[in-house]
Amino acid sequence: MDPPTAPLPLALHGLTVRYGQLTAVDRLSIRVQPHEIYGLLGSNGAGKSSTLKSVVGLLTPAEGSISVLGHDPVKEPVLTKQIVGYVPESALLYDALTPREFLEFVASVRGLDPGQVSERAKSYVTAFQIEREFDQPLATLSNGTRQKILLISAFLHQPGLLVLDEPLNSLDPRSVRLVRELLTQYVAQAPRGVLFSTHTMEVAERLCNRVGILDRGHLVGEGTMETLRSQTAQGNATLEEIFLRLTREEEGVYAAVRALGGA
Amino acid sequence: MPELPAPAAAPPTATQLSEVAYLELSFQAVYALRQGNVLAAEAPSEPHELANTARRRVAQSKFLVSLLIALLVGGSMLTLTSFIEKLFLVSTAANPIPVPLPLYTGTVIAGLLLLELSFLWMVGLQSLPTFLGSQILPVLETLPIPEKKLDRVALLVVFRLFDAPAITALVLTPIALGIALNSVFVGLLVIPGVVTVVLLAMGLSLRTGRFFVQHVQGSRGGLRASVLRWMYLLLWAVPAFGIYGFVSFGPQIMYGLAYLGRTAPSALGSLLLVFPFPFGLLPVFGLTGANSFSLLPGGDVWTTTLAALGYSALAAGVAWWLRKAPRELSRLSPEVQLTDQRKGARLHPVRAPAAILLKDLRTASRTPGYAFVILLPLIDAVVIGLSSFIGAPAPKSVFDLAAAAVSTTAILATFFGPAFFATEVMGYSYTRTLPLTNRSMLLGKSSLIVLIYIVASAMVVSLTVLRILDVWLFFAFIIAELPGLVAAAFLEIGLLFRRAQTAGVPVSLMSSGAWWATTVVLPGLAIAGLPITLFGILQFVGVSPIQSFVAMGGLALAELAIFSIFALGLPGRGRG
Repeated sequence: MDPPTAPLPLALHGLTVRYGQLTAVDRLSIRVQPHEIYGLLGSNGAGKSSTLKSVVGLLTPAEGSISVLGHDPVKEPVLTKQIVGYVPESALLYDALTPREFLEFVASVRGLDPGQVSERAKSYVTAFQIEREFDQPLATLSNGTRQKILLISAFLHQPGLLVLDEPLNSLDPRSVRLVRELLTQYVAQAPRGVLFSTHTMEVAERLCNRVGILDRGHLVGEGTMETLRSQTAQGNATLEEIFLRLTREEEGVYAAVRALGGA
Repeated sequence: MPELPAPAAAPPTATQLSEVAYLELSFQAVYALRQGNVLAAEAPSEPHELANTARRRVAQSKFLVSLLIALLVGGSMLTLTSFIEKLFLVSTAANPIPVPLPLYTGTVIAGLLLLELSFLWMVGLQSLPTFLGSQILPVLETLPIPEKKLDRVALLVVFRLFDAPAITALVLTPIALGIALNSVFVGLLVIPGVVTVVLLAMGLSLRTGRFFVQHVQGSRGGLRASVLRWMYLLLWAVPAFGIYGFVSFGPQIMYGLAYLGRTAPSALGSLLLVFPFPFGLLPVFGLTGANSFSLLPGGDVWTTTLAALGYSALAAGVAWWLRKAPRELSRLSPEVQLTDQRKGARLHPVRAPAAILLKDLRTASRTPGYAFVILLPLIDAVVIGLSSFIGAPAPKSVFDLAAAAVSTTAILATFFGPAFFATEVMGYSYTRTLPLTNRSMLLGKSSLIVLIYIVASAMVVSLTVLRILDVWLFFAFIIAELPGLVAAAFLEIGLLFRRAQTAGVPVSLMSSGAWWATTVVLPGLAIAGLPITLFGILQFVGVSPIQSFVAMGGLALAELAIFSIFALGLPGRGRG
């Protein structure tokens, strides 16, 4: 049973991110509830990664506020990072370290108990089937294996909020299924939240409790599949159809195909 | 069959393609986005401004390296003045065998060539990981570009890594030596030696780069593999210490050769055929004719010329090999060492500053550039420590030499302070999402500097302990300097943090700019050197060793107190 006044895993209010004159995220407000997997959808450059990077403290927002389990990543960066697990968009890691050395570094910085963290590492390493690669430098590993290491690193301290930027990129079908099951179980066990960015509609449809659709930095739709269907007045629509409708891309796609056909 | 449309414009030349590739390489060297860095919010938003900044910063770094080569050449010119020459050409009580003038001049020129070779090789060793990591050539490989043109592009990009320092050496060395020895002909005779040096340096850089990719980058974790890796790194770093050995032991080498000429002329004759002596002796021959060899025990003009021709032929072979080597290197993959032995997934977390130290050591063990800056102070300590053990007759001299070894180590460890931050560039964006405090980072990086000092000092102690009667004096020296070293580390790393926060860029990038690094290193060197200088002055004016140690230690502790407040009071608790 959750405590009655437990803070939300994540609350963004009026978040704005700018790169010089470009506004990547414009006054975005979303909430991730306890036990919820929230999918952030959008085309390339819609502002998904900028939003996620602001939550984990990689970018400082120009305006707005962020609350991670009641803490502000700008004012309390170390405390917030302690309770967040993050998988970045690209698996850019310390190439000269092995997965064991990398995870030891992460566990050390997070101040984790050796016995507990070893047990967890063992479970995840077995689940992801990377025992053979565990002592090979990351530079020699495939993108998929590096992605698995990042996922293990994010799960290692069992954070209250998982921030996952395209976490299923490069993974094989078995691992995709594994991650989906792990995430579902993860939020079911405790009042944790997951903020998940993807542009794979099928994954979002299957995995997320709610989704938010970003278009050029603006939130153009939010809710469960049912809510979104009713918003767009499309009774049996798939998430992809809803997405294209909300981002006004549907006609654009057909026009592009026609143009290419004639090229 | 449909005809292919005619291309709208002529395909780009190899030079044009290499311009683009080199710009990308500069961009990655400065911003390291492909290695996980993120652009600062304050960074210019226009791509051409970013590119210009990258160009400018890489050019600044090259200018500094070229300046150092110019200084080496200038230093050699000075040693060829009659004032310095005279010091070696006469016998003294300490060195009863005078150095013959041809041997002196030839050794100075050979020494300069060796220094240039070591320096250019070091430049290559430091730049090649960026060349490989930037992945510029694999992108070009996917485009319909002829093989030969791709080879040329790769070679041109690699040459651009060396261009300014190499051109400085190629142009300045003959001119400077021609002026110093007052002969245009001598200047011309130096040219084959410098060309050979540049080609060999490029060849050695690529060859060691290849070795790095094949045997070090893919090496597995574990203690045994780590020890093996450090030995590999040590092996290939040792020749680069020629730069150091020649600067530190120039006079001893000179007297050693003179002694060898007197006692075993044929051995000296053989030694003078070793690279780069023949190129050092050729200009001497040009200066004074065949007569000069009558003063050179064991030396012979024809064998010297033949040896120089042989090395030139080797350089020509390297030049031929270089046509394709850069591209082949860019396509190499690390050798994966698979094993069925599974050690389980047990992790051993440590405290955060220790984790940073451990990570840096592990990273260095697979990254030659970083390994080099860690190994240099250690090898320096061993070399000077050994010389104190072997050569110095009196315990007082042993103490002076050992203290010099420890002092040099302290200065070198401080000198490379900012370089230890460069390791942070890799995986930086991910590390910034970890709950790592500035204080942990500061303590972790400082502890690497202190560790190098302590290990090097321990090496000197173990080498000299049998020769120093009052060992406690030596320990007192090491301990008295320690707080000063920590203060210097705190100052350097604190400055890096503060400047990164003021400039609004990730702290890891501060170390990639040569200007930033210089402005951080200079005050650090001053702080580390101040207690040693004070000790030297007090000894010079006749103050007792105990009082000198107390004063030295007191000053070092005062420095530590001041710079602890400066560094530990860093603004912000997250990472810059």
